Amino acid sequence: MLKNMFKRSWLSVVRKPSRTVIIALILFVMANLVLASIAIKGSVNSSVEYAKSSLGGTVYLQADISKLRSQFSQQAAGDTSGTRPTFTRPEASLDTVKGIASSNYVKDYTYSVEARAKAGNFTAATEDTSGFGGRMGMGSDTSDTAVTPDIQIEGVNSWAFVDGVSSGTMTISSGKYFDETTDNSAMISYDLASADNLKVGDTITIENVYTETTESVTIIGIYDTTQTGFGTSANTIYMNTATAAKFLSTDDYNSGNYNVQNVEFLMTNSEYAKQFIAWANAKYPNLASENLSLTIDDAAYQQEVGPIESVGKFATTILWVVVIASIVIVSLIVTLNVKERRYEMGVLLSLGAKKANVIGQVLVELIVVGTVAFAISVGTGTAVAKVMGQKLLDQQVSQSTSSTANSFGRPTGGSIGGGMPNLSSGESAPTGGAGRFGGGASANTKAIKTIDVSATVADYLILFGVSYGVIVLALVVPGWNIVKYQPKEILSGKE
Amino acid sequence: MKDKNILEVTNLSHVYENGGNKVEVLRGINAKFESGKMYAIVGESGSGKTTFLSLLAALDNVQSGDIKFNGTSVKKIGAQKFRLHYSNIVFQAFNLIKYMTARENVQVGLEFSGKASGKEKAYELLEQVGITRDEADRLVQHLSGGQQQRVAVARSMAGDVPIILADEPTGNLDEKTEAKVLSLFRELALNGKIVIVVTHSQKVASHADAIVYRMKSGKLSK
Repeated sequence: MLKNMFKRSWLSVVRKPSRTVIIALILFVMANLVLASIAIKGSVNSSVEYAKSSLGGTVYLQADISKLRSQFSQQAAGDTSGTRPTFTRPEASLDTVKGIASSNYVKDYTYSVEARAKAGNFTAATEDTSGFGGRMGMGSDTSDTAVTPDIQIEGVNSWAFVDGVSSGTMTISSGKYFDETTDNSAMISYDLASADNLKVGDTITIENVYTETTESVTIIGIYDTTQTGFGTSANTIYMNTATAAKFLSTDDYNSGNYNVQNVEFLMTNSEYAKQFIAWANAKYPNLASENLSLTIDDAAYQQEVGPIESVGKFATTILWVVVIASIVIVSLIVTLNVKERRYEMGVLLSLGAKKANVIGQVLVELIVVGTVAFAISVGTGTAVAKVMGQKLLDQQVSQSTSSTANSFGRPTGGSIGGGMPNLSSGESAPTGGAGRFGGGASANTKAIKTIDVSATVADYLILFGVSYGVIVLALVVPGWNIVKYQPKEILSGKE
Repeated sequence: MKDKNILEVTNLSHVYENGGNKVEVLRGINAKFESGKMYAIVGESGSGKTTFLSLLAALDNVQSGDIKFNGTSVKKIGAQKFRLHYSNIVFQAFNLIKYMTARENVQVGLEFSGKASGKEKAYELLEQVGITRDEADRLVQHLSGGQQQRVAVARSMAGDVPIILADEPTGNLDEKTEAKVLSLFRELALNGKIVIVVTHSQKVASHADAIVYRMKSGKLSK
């Protein structure tokens, strides 16, 4: 009887070509969309995984503002003297930073060294300090210094790590920029250079305001900035951290464990950020007592992979919609088909066929037609996936771009493959790229705009699994109609 | 000598619901059908003939009463097994599988019975009902009504079951073909089958030279 079932199925498939073609077309379309969705999802996952590992994720070590605010409120409430409570800016020591950076979760790290100094053989530029103009005018505490500082020293690992560079507001007007190995070199502002008629190659002297010793540095570059407001000054001189440390107090410099600022850790994989923070807090419990906190900045990652992740989610939705729609459509077609063939079903039952045998015939027919349709879709599905994936991504990128444009200049993330910008001296200044570590969502960050969709063997296996699953599920209703009713009812069309 | 097969119906009643109303189609039918004989059940439309035949063919569940074959209840034998090994039915509308040839239709019956499955046996059965080899290899939808009904009879013969049932088997046939088909049933009865033909035509009943039962308002009488 089983052999006869296969024979009947085959005859039905080959001798009812129009019905076979209709079902095959539906299953073919379904299989293409299923394979496309699976392949897109797989490619999205690969891209996201790559982005997670290559883009990493940045963790900042910075002042715990909410805690400071809370402490400030408490002190203000308990203070009856009428004087405003004062706070020292929380800073991490270099040893702590290096200790945290020793974690296996950390791919790279950066920090800056800030110091105040006094102009030696040149004159500091005159700035408007009545508003938010220069840093030096903003209530700098000079009580602990021997001489009044007029220069702000910013030591960073690389010129590329300067905020203004990553945001595109600072550019090199002449010369080149430094890196960690370029000691005793500095970059001065265009305004300062103009005021003192300084140029690249000149040597300037800067006085340590604590020790009153003078250090000579060579101007290797002159920068220009369009940035204004708080934190900007024509008298800010950039150099590497080792050179900047020479302008710290003697104790700090001699101990080698001076405080550093703008500490950022780049994760080997953005997924590890939370684990890293937990690890660091456990190893350095004093961070909390010193009002420091580690916070995640995955803006670059989010902005870069956001569109492609949306595509992945969309592909999942498509997959479910296609699967459910296919179950409904195939089920309806098979139900109508079984209804149309009720005499055939009834006769088979009247001849003594088991109901399972009759349902089995319909199942085998669908499997035969489906297998052909699915096999063809193996060839076409990948092409559909490529087109569909790229269209979806283009749409998402376009939406993402317009939403960014409408976000009042909110910066976007870093580029894939970001992380430590590998810039060497003599290269032209980057016009964008990553922030310090691609974090901070620089305005020049580009979202992933292309998707390389390719189906794997696993995708094909999933395709066949899902597709056969659809066929089986689509048979539930028509199969139930055969199981539920007596042969007489089937013959009379009662089902 | 082989004992006679007996199909016995005892106090058979059947009710179905129609628009919320219960309609008693069969009312306590008692009858006995023996092998080697042909029976004709005559009655007007709606008298319950087809329902009775469906129950005899185990196409529907017996609600009340019993049907026994050689003393064993059909319920005990099992409906599917009864249909497979004991009975076969020929329908007024032939109910052949349209995408198959005449021979393939008969082969379905042969293969189900498990007694024989070869093409030759199918051709042989078809030849017995007057279908040539050439006709046997045609799709059934390309055969005339009379030919299709003869294919249906050949299919019912394929399982070599002891009970052959027919529901208005000549309803769609001309007189000449009707006579041929009825003679086939007579032959089956002569070969030891229990043949029960349901018809609304008294003419068919008498022509078939059968034992005639009359069905009226769900009751069966001779």
